[in-house]
Amino acid sequence: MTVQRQRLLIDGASVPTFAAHARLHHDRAGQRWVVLAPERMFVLDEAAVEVLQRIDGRRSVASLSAELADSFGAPQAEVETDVIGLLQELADKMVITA
Amino acid sequence: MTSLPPPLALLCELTHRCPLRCVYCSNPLDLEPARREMATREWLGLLDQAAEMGVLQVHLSGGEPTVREDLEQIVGHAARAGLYTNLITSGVMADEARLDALMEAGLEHVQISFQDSKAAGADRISGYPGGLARKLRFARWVTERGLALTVNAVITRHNAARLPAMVDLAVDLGANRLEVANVQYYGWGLLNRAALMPSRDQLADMTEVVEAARRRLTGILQIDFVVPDYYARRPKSCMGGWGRRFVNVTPSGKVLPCHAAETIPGLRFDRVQDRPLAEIWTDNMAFRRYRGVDGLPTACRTCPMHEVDWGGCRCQALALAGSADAMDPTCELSEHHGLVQAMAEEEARLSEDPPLVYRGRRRA
Ligand code: SF4
Ligand code: SF4
Repeated sequence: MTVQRQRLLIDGASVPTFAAHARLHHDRAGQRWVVLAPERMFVLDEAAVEVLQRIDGRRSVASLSAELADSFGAPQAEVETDVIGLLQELADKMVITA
Repeated sequence: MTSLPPPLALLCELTHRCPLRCVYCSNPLDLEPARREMATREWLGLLDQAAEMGVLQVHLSGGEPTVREDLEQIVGHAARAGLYTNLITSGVMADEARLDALMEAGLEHVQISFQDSKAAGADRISGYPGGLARKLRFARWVTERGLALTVNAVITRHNAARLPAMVDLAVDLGANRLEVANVQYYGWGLLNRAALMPSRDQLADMTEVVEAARRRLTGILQIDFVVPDYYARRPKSCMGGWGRRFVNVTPSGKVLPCHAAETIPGLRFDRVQDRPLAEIWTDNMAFRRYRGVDGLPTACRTCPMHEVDWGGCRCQALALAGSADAMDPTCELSEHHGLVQAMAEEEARLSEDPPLVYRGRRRA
């Protein structure tokens, strides 16, 4: 494993995956989805859950944005911008790598 | 209050044994001896109860948790129960094989404390010569394996100037996260406060270093900054509010709202062996005593900040204002605020350091 020494910049071609120390978890007690990471817990809104559940380390941002746009009947460009925004935020918090 | 949400995290002080003797250690002055530590099955039962309640994270700490030979078993059990497992260690004891076994068991994150970037300074604060080199070696084993690492840089007035070197050290090790942790004055730290307290100028410098590092290292290193709140205008939100997010279990099984809660007179704690965790969480008198808005000092109840800082820290109110029911004096609205700041400034200015008291079993 190489040490990541550069800020990761997310774009349509990025293939995101969860960092080794972060994972999506369904919090039964709170009836919500969260990301668990060291000393942190991020509570996710519905849109973020839809995105993060599709992350599998194989699909690109563009491909999962297209699927989301399709299932929610929204313009793909708009969805992709939102997805990139969300994943960039999570990459800066070191939750997502690519 | 509607039904009480479960704690987010369980802190297991698996043991108070530790080869280090840190002068800031937050363990109580009366350390629990090995013979009173809970047995493996008692820890495993506790983990099951926590997961059942909806706890999400477990922090395995001490003392030094790797002292316990059943640590792999405990980690494995927590991981199977779906808990996010974090090991808080000094990193001086475990070898590579042990680390492999812990990873195999499902460990997700390791946190290592560093007392300085220079060996002499680290030795002086930890009372454990040669510790730094061992910590560095262990930290490398962690990141080489792709396991997530938090570097916990413990800051006092003695090493504050080397904060930039500590940031570099964290980047160099490949840590994901750096906690710039100014010593919090509980336990042994409180005893040694006058010898450790940084100055206001040092705090200003630290703040600058942290801000610059955060800009430079976005996406490379996540930096958390724990300030010495004696210089703050508002208290820290201690434990995210008493009995709201955390539950702490001592080596012998006492269930506490925070690690220093035993310093507060008049509180009665339940033990894991005697009562279900869920019941302790909702009904134990110590948890109920200061929980929620009703448990806050009168001035805090009407203050708009109370859901942000939850009135600060009860143990700090006790240590500084003489009563756990008083306002936390690090709040500028407390009548003792000025005195506390003046005291910190004065301690930071001492030309000669008071002698350090190293952590250890006290003779009666
Ligand atoms: S603070 Fe130091 S002495 Fe206390 S448990 Fe941690 S490593 Fe051991
Ligand atoms: S009065 Fe109480 S709630 Fe308000 S800021 Fe001070 S400590 Fe916090």
